[in-house]
Amino acid sequence: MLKPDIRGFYEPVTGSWTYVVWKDGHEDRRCAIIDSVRDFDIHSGATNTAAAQVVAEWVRRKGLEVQWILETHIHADHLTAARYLKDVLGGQIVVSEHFLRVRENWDRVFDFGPDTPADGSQFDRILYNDEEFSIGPLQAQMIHVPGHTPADTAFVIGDAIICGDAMLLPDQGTGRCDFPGGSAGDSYDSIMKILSYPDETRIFVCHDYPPKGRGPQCMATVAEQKAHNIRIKGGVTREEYVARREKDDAGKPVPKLMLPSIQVNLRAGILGDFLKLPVDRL
Amino acid sequence: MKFVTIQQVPRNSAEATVIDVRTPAEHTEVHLQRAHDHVPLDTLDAADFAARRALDKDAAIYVLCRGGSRAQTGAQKFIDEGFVNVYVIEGGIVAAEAEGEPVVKGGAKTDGAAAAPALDLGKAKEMRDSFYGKMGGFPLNRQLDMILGAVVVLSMLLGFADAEFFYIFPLIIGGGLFIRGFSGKCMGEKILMKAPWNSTKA
Repeated sequence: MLKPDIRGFYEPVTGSWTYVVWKDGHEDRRCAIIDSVRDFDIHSGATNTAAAQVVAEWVRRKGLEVQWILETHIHADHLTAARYLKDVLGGQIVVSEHFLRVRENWDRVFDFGPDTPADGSQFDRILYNDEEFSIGPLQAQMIHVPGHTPADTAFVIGDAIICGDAMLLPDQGTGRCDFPGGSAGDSYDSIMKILSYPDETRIFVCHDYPPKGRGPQCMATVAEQKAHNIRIKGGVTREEYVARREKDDAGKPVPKLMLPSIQVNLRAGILGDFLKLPVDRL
Repeated sequence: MKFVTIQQVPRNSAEATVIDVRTPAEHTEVHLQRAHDHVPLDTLDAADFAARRALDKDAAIYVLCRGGSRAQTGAQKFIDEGFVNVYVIEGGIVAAEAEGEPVVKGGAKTDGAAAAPALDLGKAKEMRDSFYGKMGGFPLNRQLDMILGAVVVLSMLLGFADAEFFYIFPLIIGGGLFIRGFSGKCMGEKILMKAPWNSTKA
């Protein structure tokens, strides 16, 4: 099994990790970029590609060729930089089959227009559950890990899993499950699915909100998650997990960038000239 | 070994990983305001550090300590793992503060409570932990000054009391001070770092 090389880039405003996956030293220079971030100031409508530029410059310096621009899920906390990265580096923007369900859930809020077609044609490729694909010489597979949202997916690549928001680092626990279609029960099942992989499997998370005393990190092994994750260690049962997750999610505020994020992310990162601000529709 | 000043370190934390390798007590007393990682030198495992942050061997890593010598040891750990863009922040936090870099100060200087574990296993252990707590609350250079000063005073008193053998200690310490001043390197701090009250290993 060819083990992937993974370089992480942390974006501090949204606490997001963007990954480039490739095989270092291999003659096949193709790579994938996962969960890129375009900064957006909600007050002024100003966008900023500085974080994505750092990623792009690194990719160029390494002499890599972007094959895929992937997302683990339709993010509600940040805008994707997929469109920007495709413009400057090339590559194909990919979405999962669950995109359709997300678009349906949000259509009554946003009344999507022709810029967000329901057939997914704004994306270059649609991946299906458990579908295997390749990133250069690496074997990858997309798995469905609903819970945080019904459309969350993770990418299993060699000995690594890029798990999106299905899990956080052990000292942070797991992501909230109170978005439309989210489910704490599904979240538990998805986490057990991820933890069924071998103990040395490296799990890379999408977000980190470092507590005082440490800087941002992104990786913990399956063994470490099993032993230390504050929400699942010690053989927590599904009932216990669900009860605590739902209690902690009660009354959580809407993420600051949710309205702009959902719109932009469902149209493959195209900004357009305007975003909609739905009134009393949430 | 490559050296930079704090001003030369890129502001964007996505382009620069800054690691402060001083003890917890030193970090509490004063540390950089800008985003950085605090990993005491005795617990720094370069390969593990990089794996948890998905860094590649080209990643720019900047190491900081009080004056600069522990940082070199820390930097070497990364160089030994194959990292090629490793830098020592010259003059450490002392120079950084003097150059106007924003720092955060806080915590009592003898707040060793954070460093010493809480135990309840008898008077002897209580006294040991109280000593560890107080001692660990001092920055390393001050611990060294206290220990060297105490040895010199004790040796001189014993020498005055006709035990002239003990004069050898002030002789050695004097020589060591000269070497430290001349070379800028301090072996004493490196050794003292391994003392149990300074150790941050669980």
